[in-house]
Amino acid sequence: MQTTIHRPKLQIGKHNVDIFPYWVGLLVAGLLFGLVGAFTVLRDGLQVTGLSNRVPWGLWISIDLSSIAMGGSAFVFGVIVYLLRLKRFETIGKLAVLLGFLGYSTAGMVLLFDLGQPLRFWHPVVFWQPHSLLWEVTMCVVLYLTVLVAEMAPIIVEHPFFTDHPLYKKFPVVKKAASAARTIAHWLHKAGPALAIIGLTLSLLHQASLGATYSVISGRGVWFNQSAPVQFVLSAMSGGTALLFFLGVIVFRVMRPGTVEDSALYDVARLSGGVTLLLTYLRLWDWAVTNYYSFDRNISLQTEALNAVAPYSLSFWIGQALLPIIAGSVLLAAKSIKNFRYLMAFAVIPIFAAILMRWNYNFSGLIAAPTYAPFTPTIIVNSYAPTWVEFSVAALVISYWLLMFSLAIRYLPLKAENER
Amino acid sequence: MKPTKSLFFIAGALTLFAVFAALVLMSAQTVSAIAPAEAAQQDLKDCLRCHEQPAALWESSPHREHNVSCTVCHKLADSAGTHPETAKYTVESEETTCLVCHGSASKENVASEMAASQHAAVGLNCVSCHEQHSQGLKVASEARTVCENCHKAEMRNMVESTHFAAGLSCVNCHMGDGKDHSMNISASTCSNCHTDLHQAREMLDAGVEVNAMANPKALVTQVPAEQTPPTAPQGGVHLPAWVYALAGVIIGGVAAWAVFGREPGSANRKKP
Amino acid sequence: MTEHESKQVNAEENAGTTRRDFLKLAGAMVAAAGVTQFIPSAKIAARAASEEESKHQWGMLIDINRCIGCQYCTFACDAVNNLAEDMRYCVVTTETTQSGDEFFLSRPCMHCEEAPCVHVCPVGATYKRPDGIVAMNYDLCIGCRYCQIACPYEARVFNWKKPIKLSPQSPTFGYPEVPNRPRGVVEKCTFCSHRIDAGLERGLMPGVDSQATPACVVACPTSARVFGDLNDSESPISEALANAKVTLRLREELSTKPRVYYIPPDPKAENPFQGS
Repeated sequence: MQTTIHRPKLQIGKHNVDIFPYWVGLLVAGLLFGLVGAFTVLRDGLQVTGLSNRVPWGLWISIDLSSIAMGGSAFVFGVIVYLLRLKRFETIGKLAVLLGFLGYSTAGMVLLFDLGQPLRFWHPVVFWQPHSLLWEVTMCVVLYLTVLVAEMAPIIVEHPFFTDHPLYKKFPVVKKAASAARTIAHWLHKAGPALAIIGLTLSLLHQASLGATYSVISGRGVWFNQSAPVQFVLSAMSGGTALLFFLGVIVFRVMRPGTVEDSALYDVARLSGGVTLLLTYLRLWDWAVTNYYSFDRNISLQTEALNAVAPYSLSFWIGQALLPIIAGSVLLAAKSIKNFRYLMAFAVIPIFAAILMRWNYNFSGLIAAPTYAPFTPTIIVNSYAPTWVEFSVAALVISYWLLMFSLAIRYLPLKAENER
Repeated sequence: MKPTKSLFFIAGALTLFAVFAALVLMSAQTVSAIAPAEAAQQDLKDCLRCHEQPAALWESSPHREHNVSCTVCHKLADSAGTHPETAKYTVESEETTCLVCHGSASKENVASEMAASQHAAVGLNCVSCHEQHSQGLKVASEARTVCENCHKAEMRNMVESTHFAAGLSCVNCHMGDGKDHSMNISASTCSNCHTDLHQAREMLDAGVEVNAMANPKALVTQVPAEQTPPTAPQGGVHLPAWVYALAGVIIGGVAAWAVFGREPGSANRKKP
Repeated sequence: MTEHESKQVNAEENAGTTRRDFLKLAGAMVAAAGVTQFIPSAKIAARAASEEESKHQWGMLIDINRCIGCQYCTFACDAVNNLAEDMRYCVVTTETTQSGDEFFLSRPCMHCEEAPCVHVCPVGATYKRPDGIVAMNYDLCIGCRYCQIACPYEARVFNWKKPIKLSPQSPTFGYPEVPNRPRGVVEKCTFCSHRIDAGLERGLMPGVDSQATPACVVACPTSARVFGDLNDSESPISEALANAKVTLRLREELSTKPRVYYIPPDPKAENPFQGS
């Protein structure tokens, strides 16, 4: 019944070593280092970070945005598997759900540390302020995380623990609990299409609202942008799907060969390439609208200031225009290239482009801030340097992501039901 | 009524009367026994119950030395009822508060000096410079003297001057020993120290120093302001080098593997 | 549970419902009451009150020509709100006109009619009072700092550290009048709403009586700041606004409609302190 999992081994001389324990050990070390930072920030408050009144959002918010983008494949494949009923993507869809769950739980975790009052994290759920985009994002993320847990449950109960385990003979209670969990999970599996629709709605809402979170801030010109919501949805789709392809090759070709057809993986790459090209097309128009067809003094001053302190325009033209066009074209032609090595290398570009876009979005309005001076409006260039605590908590959540992913792909059965 | 009983009754009534009379008389005596000097103390004790902080400042003030207590300035404006519910102690205008003592009738004559000053012309009053409860000077935490609260540029010039090096500060020239609140500089201001008549005369004739001192803007033009060289903007996101190195290693590693590596896995590996 | 409801429940019980059903219902109602207890009453009050506008609408006028840059407003604000030097609500900066003349710009919270901070707060911790003051509920604030990002006037400060014991400007420029705020919440200028509220209760008029007027207005030695009720045509601010030839508000292009007006610098005006 169990899927064969090929465990990659490191060949050192004559020895054939399983690298998995060392990899897990490294991640646990990262987690422990992260816990030190987490403890520090919970004890001393946000004064231990490099944040200030001028740059109140920093590294953690960027990680939060990026990890949500990295979970972007979950809603895409929810639709493909449950609504379009494309059975050959069912196994890949399970990996997408895993990535979604990891992305969103990471985001929730890092947000917790970013709050000034972490114990009040539940306030948005109780004290509604529907005007606020951040409230909408919070509610959507909370609800969508619930949906993802419901979608994850059928995958988890496929683990042998829930079907047969030595403990069952000793403790019949465990057996009963396991079979009850299986029953619930099977109901949830049947509710798959409904969950997919809810997930799609919630995802589109909050991925767009994440962009709108910035684009409603009219006081900071570079953020005030009508297409940002669409850009955020598309970049989550392009980056998330590219990540799904990259990890899909590792999981389904290297570790569990034979579970997924190559053509299905090529199609994932093609989807990612197509969305990447669409996003780049939109971003080029967006650039033209804000910088070429119209002239806003604040935006040009801000762009100028950003270019003085960082390769802002260069990162746009290279990282978000040129490279994504190349990568998108290569990925779109996956079926003719048929080389997973090249495709994976090019799939890295949309992933980095999505992270770069969110990084730039977060910092552009904060680093170059317009002043309120009445006659001669100028731009104040703020600075921000993350402290070790911020890197430590970053290590915590990234280690968590990698550890959960590593354990899941090693131990969870991801094979689709109908193929068994 | 039996005689014994009526005797008891009369005795009891007399005792009661005596006790009441004693209580009334004694209390009257206590009130009248308060000396005028102690009134201030009594007054302060009542105020202190709530207004600790102003009282603490007042405790070491010139007003305290001269027994000027709370109600001298804070007058009971609306005496109906009790304070603080209905009865209010208010501070009225400067004329009825500060100038009653420090006005033209007094020997200090601070009021008319102040009225003649440029300070009055822009609307300043006593409490602009003096903290009302301690009567000390309101020196902001970022200033060295009370003058620097406003005269920041002048103070910057002052600290570079010969006068400052000689241990003088603003008031030495602008107020003098008499604490002249008009802040004007007279001809004698210079000659008080520059006793060499010839030198002082020369300067006066030239009119340079006095004019310069009286006109802050002229002084500013004489001393060139410090030119800070334009520096490159220090802003931006500062990441440590290892972050860039890590990103480079990941991207470079993937690129190198794409060029030199092997195809990952296989479509259908046979089960071992 | 209102009187009416409880009577109805009793009537239903008499009509034939079992005791057990009644207990269930009562239990659910008690639980619901318990949940409502959980919501800070201030929040409910704020919501109910914001539905109708107060007859007072507070506003401020700052005459740039009279400002000498002494920062007394800042110091008085620091003392009254017990602020550290890096937590100031009210700041004075030196700005220039188009012709290059320097002037002082003193900036409290604008108390915008369309306040971006109120719109973006995810929990409604910052809200608009019926009298137009943009206020904070420190018990609700989660410290996400979105309001700081949304404010075009940099008028909001976050409590990165624990509150200080006593502001360096105290007692010279005043005493703390409001309780300290905890670490991890955002705070802002309140237009000294504690003075306004207490003053109105005692029958004083904010803008006229100093005890009911914001500390910065009282502290200003040159009376550059005027405060009062914009709805009252005889208030000091309405008269000053009527007398002013020209007024401006900061960043009006953002349509935030600030309640703080400025009289722009007049090039002909003589101000010996300007440009220092």
